Amino acid sequence: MNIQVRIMALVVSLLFIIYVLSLVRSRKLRETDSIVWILASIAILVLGVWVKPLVYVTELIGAKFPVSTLFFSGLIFLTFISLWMTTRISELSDQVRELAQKITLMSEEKEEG
Amino acid sequence: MEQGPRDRVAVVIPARNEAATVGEIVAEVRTRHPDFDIIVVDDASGDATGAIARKAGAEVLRTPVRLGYGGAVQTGLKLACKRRYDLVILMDADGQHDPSSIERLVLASQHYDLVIGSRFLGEASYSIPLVRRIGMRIFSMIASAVVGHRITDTSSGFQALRRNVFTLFALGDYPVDFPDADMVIWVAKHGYRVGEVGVKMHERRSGRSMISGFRSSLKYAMKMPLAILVTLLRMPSLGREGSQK
Repeated sequence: MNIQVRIMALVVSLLFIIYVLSLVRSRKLRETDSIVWILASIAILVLGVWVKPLVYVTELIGAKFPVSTLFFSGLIFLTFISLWMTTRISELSDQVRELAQKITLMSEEKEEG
Repeated sequence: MEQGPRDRVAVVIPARNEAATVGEIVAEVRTRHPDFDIIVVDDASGDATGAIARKAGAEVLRTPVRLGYGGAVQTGLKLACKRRYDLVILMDADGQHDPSSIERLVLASQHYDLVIGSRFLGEASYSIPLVRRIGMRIFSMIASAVVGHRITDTSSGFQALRRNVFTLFALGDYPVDFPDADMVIWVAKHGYRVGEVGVKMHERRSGRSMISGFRSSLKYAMKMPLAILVTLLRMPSLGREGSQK
């Protein structure tokens, strides 16, 4: 991996960590939800400085360039994040439905009482 | 055979923007069955659905946000559960389900825990698009295999549910969009008896079907096989409540 790519990975991951922290600071993102993004940024940061593990994985999976491995890992990570987010949306939709039903039934109780 | 002397019956009618028809439906049910409680679940309508239904003699539950057909039905079933009705009749507010068929559903509920009002065994004064008919037939065939006898109209929302079945739907999962063959299978998997009677159905007098337009049809066609598969793989979740009869 050449030096430009490594510098770019470092800069981008640093900026990303700063952005995530600012979102947490302004209460737009919860601490627990930010952990996965901070860990991913740290992983890119570490791999930008210390490329040995990336080269090892590249050889292991038979990829040609470490950059390809990095992109591939990113893609897998984003796919899983999307799936996880979708499950969260399903869960939240169910909670909203249950709350709305409870409010409806409580209003009925109030009218009755 | 008459309905049991102490059976408390609720007619649950989910409605969204059905001001044009809901009053007439409620009034007709009230005239035919003055001893039944009528609960209209107004699914955050933007028109006077709730007020008209109330004026016609129904009790109205209004949801604060749109819950969809299944969400509205489940809200009504939760109330039925709380009040411990013996039987719930589910019907639509758009004029598709003829109140004169309620009697048949009630009578059949003496023998079954879930009675489906079938348009194919009764009188349907309208035609169903071919593609949808094919889909309905396939899903009905799968449901029939699980139930153990022929079921012709799993997508009918005109149903009679004994307490064990509506408790299952009220306390467990109930699909928000298209409750269909998956729910019939779910009921059968719990060991409850599923039956069918012919009912009168008409062309809806107002509004649009849940499954209308390309997007909804595609969603239905994609969702239903998956829902059936998942239901077949799921284990019954609740303990069986004793059959009422």
